[in-house]
Amino acid sequence: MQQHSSLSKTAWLFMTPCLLVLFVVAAWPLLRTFMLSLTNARLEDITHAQWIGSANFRDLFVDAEWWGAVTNTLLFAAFSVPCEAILGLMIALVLHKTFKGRGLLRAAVLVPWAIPTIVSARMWGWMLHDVYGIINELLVRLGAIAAPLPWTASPTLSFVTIVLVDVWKTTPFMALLLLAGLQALPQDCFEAALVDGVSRKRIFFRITMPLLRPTLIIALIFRTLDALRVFDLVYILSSGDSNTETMSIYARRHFVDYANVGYGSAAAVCLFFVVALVTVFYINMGRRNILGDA
Amino acid sequence: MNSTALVLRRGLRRLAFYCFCVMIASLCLFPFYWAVVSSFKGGTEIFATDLIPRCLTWQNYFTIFQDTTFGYAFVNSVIVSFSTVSIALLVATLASFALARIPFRGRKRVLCAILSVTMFPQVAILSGMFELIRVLDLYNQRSALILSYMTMTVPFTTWTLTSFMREVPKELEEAAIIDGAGSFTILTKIFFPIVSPALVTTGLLAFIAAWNEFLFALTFTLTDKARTVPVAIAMLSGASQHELPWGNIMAASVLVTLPLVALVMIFQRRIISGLTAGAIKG
Amino acid sequence: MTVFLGLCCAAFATHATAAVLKMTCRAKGQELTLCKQAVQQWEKKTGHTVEIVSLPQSSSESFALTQQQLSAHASDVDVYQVDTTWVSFLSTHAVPLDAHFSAQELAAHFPVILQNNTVNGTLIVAPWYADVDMLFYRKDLLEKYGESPPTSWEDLLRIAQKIQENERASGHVRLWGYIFRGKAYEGLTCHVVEWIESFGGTLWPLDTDRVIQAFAFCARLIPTTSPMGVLSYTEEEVRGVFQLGDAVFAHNWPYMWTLTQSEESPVKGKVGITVLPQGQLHGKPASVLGGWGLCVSRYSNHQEAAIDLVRWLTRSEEQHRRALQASYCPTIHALYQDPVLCAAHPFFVHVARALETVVLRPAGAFGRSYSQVSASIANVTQKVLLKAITPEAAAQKLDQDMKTLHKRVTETPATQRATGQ
Repeated sequence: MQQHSSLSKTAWLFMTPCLLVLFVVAAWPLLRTFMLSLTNARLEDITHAQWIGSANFRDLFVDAEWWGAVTNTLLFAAFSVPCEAILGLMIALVLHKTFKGRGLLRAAVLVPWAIPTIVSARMWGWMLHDVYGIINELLVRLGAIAAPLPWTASPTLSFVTIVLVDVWKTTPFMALLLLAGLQALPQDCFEAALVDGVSRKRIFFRITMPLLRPTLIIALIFRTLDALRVFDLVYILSSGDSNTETMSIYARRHFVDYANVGYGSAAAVCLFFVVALVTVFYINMGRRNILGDA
Repeated sequence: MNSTALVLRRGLRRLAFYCFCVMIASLCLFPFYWAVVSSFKGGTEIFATDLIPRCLTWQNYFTIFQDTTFGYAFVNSVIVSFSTVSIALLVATLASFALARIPFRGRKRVLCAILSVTMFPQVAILSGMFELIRVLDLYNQRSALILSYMTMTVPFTTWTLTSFMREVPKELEEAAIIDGAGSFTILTKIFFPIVSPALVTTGLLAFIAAWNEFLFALTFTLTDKARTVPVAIAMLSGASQHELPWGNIMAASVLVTLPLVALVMIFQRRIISGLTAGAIKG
Repeated sequence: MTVFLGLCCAAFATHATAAVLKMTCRAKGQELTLCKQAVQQWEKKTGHTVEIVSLPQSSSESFALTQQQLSAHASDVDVYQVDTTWVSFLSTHAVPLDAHFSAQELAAHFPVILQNNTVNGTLIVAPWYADVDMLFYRKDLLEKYGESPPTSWEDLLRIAQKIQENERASGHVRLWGYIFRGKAYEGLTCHVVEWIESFGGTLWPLDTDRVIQAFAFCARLIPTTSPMGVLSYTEEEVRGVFQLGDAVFAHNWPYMWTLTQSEESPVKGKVGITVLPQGQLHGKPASVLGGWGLCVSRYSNHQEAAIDLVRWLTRSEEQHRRALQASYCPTIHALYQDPVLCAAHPFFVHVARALETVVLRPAGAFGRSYSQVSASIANVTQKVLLKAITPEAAAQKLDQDMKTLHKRVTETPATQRATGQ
């Protein structure tokens, strides 16, 4: 018993730096943001803000631009995550095989992930330039389109562009996660099935997928949360465009550009709850599935 | 089915497979190739759309370092990223040892709490963090960034290192306890050497995350004194106040990305194991 | 020994009175060199030192950061470079400058610029250089089709369409008639004010009929004479397309002139510049007043030295030098008759004409809420350009938005506290 309690003390001692740091940089600021959302704080004078209760939230819920941002964010997540999952799975299956040049392919696949978002955004912005972009040039030359498309200007196309660049950038991450999952699967099932003469398609759908489900769910959780919180990409590629504005950008716009800290914090709090809800939902779904399989 | 048809089918399947691989590789690499090519084009040549450029020049690379304060931004990024990683690893190693090897009440809850921090949207702590930085008088200082980057790096490194530490065989630890070693000695003399590869991996991932961070760098820095590379690239401009020099931007982007790409290529196995350790085994 | 000590004391004394000033500047490249040269001359003259602090290129980001600094009463920066629309925010943070300029010096500037930089009767921003939107056109194409530069928007559309159709038929597929800054930011707001004023209307208070007329004109632009891509264009994209010869008319700031006349520009020698066209009969050519000035922070510890620096940088000789070397448009009207400048930059005569009839954006009425108003104006205009709403609905929405934001300006307790200072 004594050893146990002294061990406990040591444990807490070891964890103190970590917990302290996280309290200062995560817990406290989060709490402050919650508190600030209930005041009329402005950027220049945060400490002398006045309590206004839920007025910010009321203003937020009647703002059409806020709902636009919410819709954009949800649509963005709804489109990009499945694309990334499917493409990631395909790439993972390819990388799972052993073939010549596998290392090269793996290295190539990691490149989009390594490039800083701002650089990707700039690169793609340049390639998708409506008059001088190489993509329009290639598409026109191949005869796929008649005239250059305004990728970052047209409302629908700018949304497609954002999803496209995000898929390009994060599919590698998904592919790697799923690859690790595939590599961790017990190989004997597959061998037995092959020996029994089961078709590849059947093996994939009846054996691989169910075994991969836990990994897939974890990958989906991470990606969905990242998609809901997206900022960098949209900020660089299409800032100011109300068709692609996400909740993070909306919150920062009011916080910095309009110096309205209270209102911006309210928007941030709403985003936090959306993310928290999605997390809880996924975890429950995950738990049920894993329990169900068992 | 006769054997030639089978061989043909297999050959076609192989071909299709390799074509698919080539397609994936080109899709992944083309934008970077285009950025590199554009960075070597000068003046109005950059607006030309030939896939293989006619004439190349180093002009853009000279310009970035001469005319702009990009060099400062590079130095700032290096300092901020290294400091962040060092502090995070230190803190995380201590914590992960406790979480992985010492059974105590509430361990699971603490681990969950730490993991939940990785799910915070950055904007949700933006106002609170901004106020904190103002109060500590760190606005427009590199330390503001080092402090705020703890939010992203500490939970992730703790979580990943915990799963690595769990893998260390119990026998080593038990032997040390029998010899009368305290927890701290066990950590430093036994675990540290074993998990140092994992430390390198986690450190690398944390370095990349800190290097690429944008939102906090954009909001908490004002001048070149503290500006980091991503923000500097976003603000790159040319000789006159409105000029947007695409050549320079591409050159800066390439310079910033090459070290990262090189690091990633060299350490790919480590990186992959690090990324997946946290997700799968954790 | 005593002589040596004496010298040391003297050196120390001059050093003790020598101040280190900090000045913000959005300068990069050539602009920064010019700024540094002027500052170094002043340093030699007075023995003080000046450190130049660079700000982001985006005007709205610079504004947000300047707001933060001044609101925190920071004494770090002594002299700020400020945009035309920031003046009303600066009223409580900038030192009044009237007393430090002679009446003669003040009279040398364009009255409208001084008017813009004055709040409650006191001048708080010293004019440094001006910027007015101009209409750039392809001289060679207009000559080819026997047209002269348009004086009305209707005319411009007609010419643009005619040239665009004919040139495309003869192989120049990429050519567009009229390009402008259509991205949702301050640049578009400038255009909107210009379009509305050129039709004889005002933005604040909203002159509904004229605004509807102006919006009706906007709705006709895409895709007849302007590509949908303009909705993502800022200054540089407009220049890029025009400089490569793919536009007949471009609506942009004068900085574009020097770059389009550079050695490697495909349109060198083919560019004409003039004032913007007017709307129909009731209108007038209207350019928005842009440009930057210098102000002295009230929280500076070296106000005297800072004011002297501002006087030095904004004086006639310095404006002449900047105009000559980098075509920065001066704010002093006598300089537009200077033979050296006119020979070097013939387009200055058009800039002078534009400055005579320049209009102001409604920044004064909205104070620090101006950025939000500007964003609202730009967003509504983009919808009009996309034909997503009718001009009438747009005018109504604009009216509503501006009234709501104006109410907030006059009602917030924070504003009351600020103005009470």
